[in-house]
Amino acid sequence: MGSGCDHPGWGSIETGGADMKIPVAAAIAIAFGLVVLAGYFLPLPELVSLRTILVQWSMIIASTALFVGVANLLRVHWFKLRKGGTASAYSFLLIASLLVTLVVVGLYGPTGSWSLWIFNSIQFPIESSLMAILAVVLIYSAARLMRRRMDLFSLLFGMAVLLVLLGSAPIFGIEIPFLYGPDGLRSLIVQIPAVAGARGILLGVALGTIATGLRILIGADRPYGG
Amino acid sequence: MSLADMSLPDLVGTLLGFFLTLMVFSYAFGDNALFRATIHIFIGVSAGYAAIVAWYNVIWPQLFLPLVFGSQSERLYILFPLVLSGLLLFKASPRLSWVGSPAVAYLVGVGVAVGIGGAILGTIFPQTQATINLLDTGAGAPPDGSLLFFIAQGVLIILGTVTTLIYFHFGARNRVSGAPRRPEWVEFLARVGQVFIAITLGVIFAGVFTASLTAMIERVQFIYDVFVPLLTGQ
Amino acid sequence: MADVRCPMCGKPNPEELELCQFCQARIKPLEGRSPAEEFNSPIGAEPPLDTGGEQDSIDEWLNFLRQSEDEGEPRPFDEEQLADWMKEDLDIKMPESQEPLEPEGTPDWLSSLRSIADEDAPEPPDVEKAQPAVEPSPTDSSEENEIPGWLSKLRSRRTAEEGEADQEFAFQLGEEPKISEQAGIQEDRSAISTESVSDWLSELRGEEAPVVDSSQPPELVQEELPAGQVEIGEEVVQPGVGVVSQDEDIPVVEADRASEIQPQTEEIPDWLAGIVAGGAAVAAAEGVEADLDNLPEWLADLEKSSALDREEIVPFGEEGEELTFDWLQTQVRAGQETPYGEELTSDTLGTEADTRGVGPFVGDLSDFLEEAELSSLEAAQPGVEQPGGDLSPAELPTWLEAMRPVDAAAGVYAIDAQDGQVESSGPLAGMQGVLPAEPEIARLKKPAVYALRLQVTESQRAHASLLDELVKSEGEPKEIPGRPAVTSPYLFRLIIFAVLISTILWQVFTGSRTSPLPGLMPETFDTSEIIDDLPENALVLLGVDYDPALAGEMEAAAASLVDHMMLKVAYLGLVSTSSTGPALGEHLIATVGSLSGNRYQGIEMYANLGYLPGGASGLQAFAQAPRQVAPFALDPETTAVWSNTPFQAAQDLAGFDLVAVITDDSDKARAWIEQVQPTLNGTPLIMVISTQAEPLVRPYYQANPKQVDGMVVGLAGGGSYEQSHQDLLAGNGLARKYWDAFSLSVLAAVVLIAVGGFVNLVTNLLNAQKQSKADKKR
Repeated sequence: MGSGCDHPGWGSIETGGADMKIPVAAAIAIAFGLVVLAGYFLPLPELVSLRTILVQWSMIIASTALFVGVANLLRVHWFKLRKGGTASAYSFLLIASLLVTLVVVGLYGPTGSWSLWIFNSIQFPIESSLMAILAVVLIYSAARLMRRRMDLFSLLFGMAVLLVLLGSAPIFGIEIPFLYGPDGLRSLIVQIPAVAGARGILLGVALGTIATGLRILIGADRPYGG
Repeated sequence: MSLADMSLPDLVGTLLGFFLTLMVFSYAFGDNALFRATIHIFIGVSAGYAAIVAWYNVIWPQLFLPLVFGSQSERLYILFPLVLSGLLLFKASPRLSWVGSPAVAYLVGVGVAVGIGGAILGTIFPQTQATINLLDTGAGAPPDGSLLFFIAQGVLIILGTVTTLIYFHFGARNRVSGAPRRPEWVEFLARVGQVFIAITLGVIFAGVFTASLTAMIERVQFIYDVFVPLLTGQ
Repeated sequence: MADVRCPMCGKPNPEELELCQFCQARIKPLEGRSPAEEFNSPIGAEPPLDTGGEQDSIDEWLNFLRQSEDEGEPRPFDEEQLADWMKEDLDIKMPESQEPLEPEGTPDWLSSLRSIADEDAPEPPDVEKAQPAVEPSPTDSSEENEIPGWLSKLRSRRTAEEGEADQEFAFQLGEEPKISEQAGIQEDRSAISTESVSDWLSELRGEEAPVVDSSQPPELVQEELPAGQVEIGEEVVQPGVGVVSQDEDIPVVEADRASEIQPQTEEIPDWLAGIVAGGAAVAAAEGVEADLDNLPEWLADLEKSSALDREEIVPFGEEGEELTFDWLQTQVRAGQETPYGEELTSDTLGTEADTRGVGPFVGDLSDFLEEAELSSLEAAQPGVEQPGGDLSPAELPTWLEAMRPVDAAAGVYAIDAQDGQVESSGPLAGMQGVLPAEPEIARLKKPAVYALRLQVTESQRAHASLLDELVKSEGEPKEIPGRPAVTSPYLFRLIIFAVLISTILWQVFTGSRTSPLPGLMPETFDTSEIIDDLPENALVLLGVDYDPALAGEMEAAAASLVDHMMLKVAYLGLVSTSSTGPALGEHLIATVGSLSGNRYQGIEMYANLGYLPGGASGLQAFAQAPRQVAPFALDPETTAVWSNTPFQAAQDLAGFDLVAVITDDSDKARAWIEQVQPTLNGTPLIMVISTQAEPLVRPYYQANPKQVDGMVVGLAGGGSYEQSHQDLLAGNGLARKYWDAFSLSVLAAVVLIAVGGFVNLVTNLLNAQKQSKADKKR
């Protein structure tokens, strides 16, 4: 997305006493972000209400962003279609399916019969099939792991995969005691070391989210192009 | 339900799904035109459906209805999102995309604040408390479990949690000779955390495979449910 | 008052003037050291004699010469003032009186000088007003007949010849004598003391050397010499070079150019004549009026000199107005036109001799001048010590300068490589071993010819050719090697696909139900208990937050749970943070209804609240104000569910009896936990998750206090739930349907991973061994 501060149309806010120009976009992000964040920790009813309103407004704007994404998709493939060539046929299919879906779902609603028909007949099978093909790729990747990289951690990774898979279901109808079941090795692996690692990952992700968010709220990072 | 019991739209839909499934499965033999066509159809359908859902669920009831049929206060209430939504539409134009920067900034600011609040209140505090309470026999000890096992489990989880966090700490001091390196004790603990991370990632990988395998089973089942009746004429 | 013609510009000047009023050249000669002392003293060395005394002696001597010239008689010289060698060598009788001396054996050059002087005798300069270089001493008359041996030798060798000598060389040195103007004549210039005159001069007097009559120009034999060359004695001397040729013809200084002090006797050698001529020139330059008509041609042709520092010229350091020696510099410039290194040939010299005037010397001064030339050349060499004198090297008298064989105008140089480069311009013209006046870089010379061919080494050429090949190969289309249709990875993938499809198809085809479903898991048990604890007509918020890709697993895991809730006649409120959620929720409800027979239809049984955009922001907004965020259901009537349904009891999410989230993504699960769970206020939160999200959701379930109250994980969890509630879904649970195929395909997958991993491991080891062997061979 383009930068707003580079265009003469969007000016900047000059801070009094400080030789610094803050773009308008950054000011909006910082101001509203701080208000929403304050609503989390300050038990003020007005602040909580304001936070609720601001977040609701963000839902509306996010829906508009979805429209913008679809419009951009349409524009790109329209240019490909006009350009011609082999890829134009695929673009034609995309544009056709999109327009048909817009018309049908628009007329009947998201949960209308024909809308659901389109969903159940086209989108659902295709996405499920794509996920099914992924199984082949995953097996191939796991088998190639030992060829690409061989160290302790790769070995641990492979062993964990095999043990968890083996303990997921009985083998030829036979439940292997030390492997399968609530007290089996699979459960122990999943409930103890995997939880430990996952908890550390979750805490790390949360800390990273806080750090990244604070950087944006203080204006250090401006991913919105300000 | 057999194919004979299906209505025509359902039958057509089922058959359409059947062929689309086969077209996607053809990717196992390599990339081909059928697979690409299927993918493009899928993208078009999903994009169109998402746009209509957004219109039906948000734009119409929360933006245009109050604007057209709402009261003065309701119109004032939606004035700000209406303006920002209008500005956001300019993002579709590469030349005028800068106009939508304030709207994007608003989304980013609010989203970031929500993320921070959720991370602190929903993950940091509860998970830290949970880690502390691992050795609290009065807090969560299993009624029929072994105390030793409980403590061992707690110690192991605490060790794994701490060492995993240490692994993701990459701060190091500059050294005169060579590249910056972490202290030795940090390196040792990071390696221990790496063991837990490897096991966790292995479990996740197994879960992904399990999910995909289940999806394959469902699709094969579907194909079987369609093909066999077609074949047998049932 | 008789006018004195300037030796430089040739214009008449009053005789009392020492400097020419037009060109500021010195008309009257400067008082300085004796010529012998000047020649023998090293450059820069202090004069051995007292400067004042020396100057007095020189002035006296020159004055004597001048007076002798004026009176036509050789000046009497003080014998004591003459150097011993002069007394010994010179066979010159210095005149005792003012009468010109004509002893026997007078050199021809001297008599010729006299004859010329008689013919073109200018008015005698006002010697009294001028500052003659030499003051004649009455006592010198007694020594007039004493001619030094060297002088006699010179006399015997040389004969005066007619011709013009280029007297200009006497003034071409950088140390031109300063010429004072008429008003600025230095009165305090002392005449040359006769006592300081070298012995040779006394010998000159003793041998009745002709008295130099300064009033009369010496008899000069005018001879044309090349510019810058002076014939001294038997040699033609080129200033700055030295003797250029041995010539019997003696150039004679022109009477006009000669000094007013003229040797009165023929025995005076050429060098002396030059000295006399130089003295006459100096006297003329000092403002003595000279007869313009009597000026020699070389003097008349001289251009007006440029302004010169008089101090450089005045030998005794007296300051005055600047003298101009344009005439000298003209000669210097003329000499510069001649390229270096031109060998001196007799032809060249002969040619030049024809075009140049007679040197300032008359008589045979070859020996003396040769010695002087050698001494001057030695002085030009660095480190050569020249005999000192009263005068500093920079302040040589004009007559001595005239004797110095330096001529920058001459283009032919016999450059001695060992002596260094001869300066060709500037005040140091003719000197060797000095810093060049003009930098080497400014001299015009032929530019060096550089080869146009690039100088590269062989290695550079090889690298360049290699780079050239690389660049050329970039533009050339390369043949893409044909890839085989069947490769090992392709085969392996086909095998995997075939094995999986085969195992699944086998189980599906056979409809096997042999594999036992998993037992009751703790998380499943908790979930089951929570749902069992639901009241009748409970309000359940069902979050359908999974993708259609994993709809097979999620429906298999959640179908029994949903059916369990349906059996509880719970009012289901479907909501989703994904755009496909509403459709998936409808598909789930339809699937459960088709399996269990409990068909949920219409707004009376469930409400599809639709899509919550914004992810976590939407969940946060929905958690805070569900009525405002999702006011309508996505049914065809767009029912406002919050006012007409069991939803009325719920002001917020805490008003729901249960919140169940079906998701395949750990991030979505985390968003629900972080944004919604804190607002539930005791409302249980259960999750139906995919096996891929289990590791990251289980910490929330295993937390204390729990953040997720119950969990159903994947197909196994669904199977476990179905196993524990076999009445659900009428025994047609999806988990049961898929379990056998799942168990066999999982085993097949494990085998494929293990075998493929083992094969790849062995291949890797073998390749590593080959690589190590190849490395060892290298």
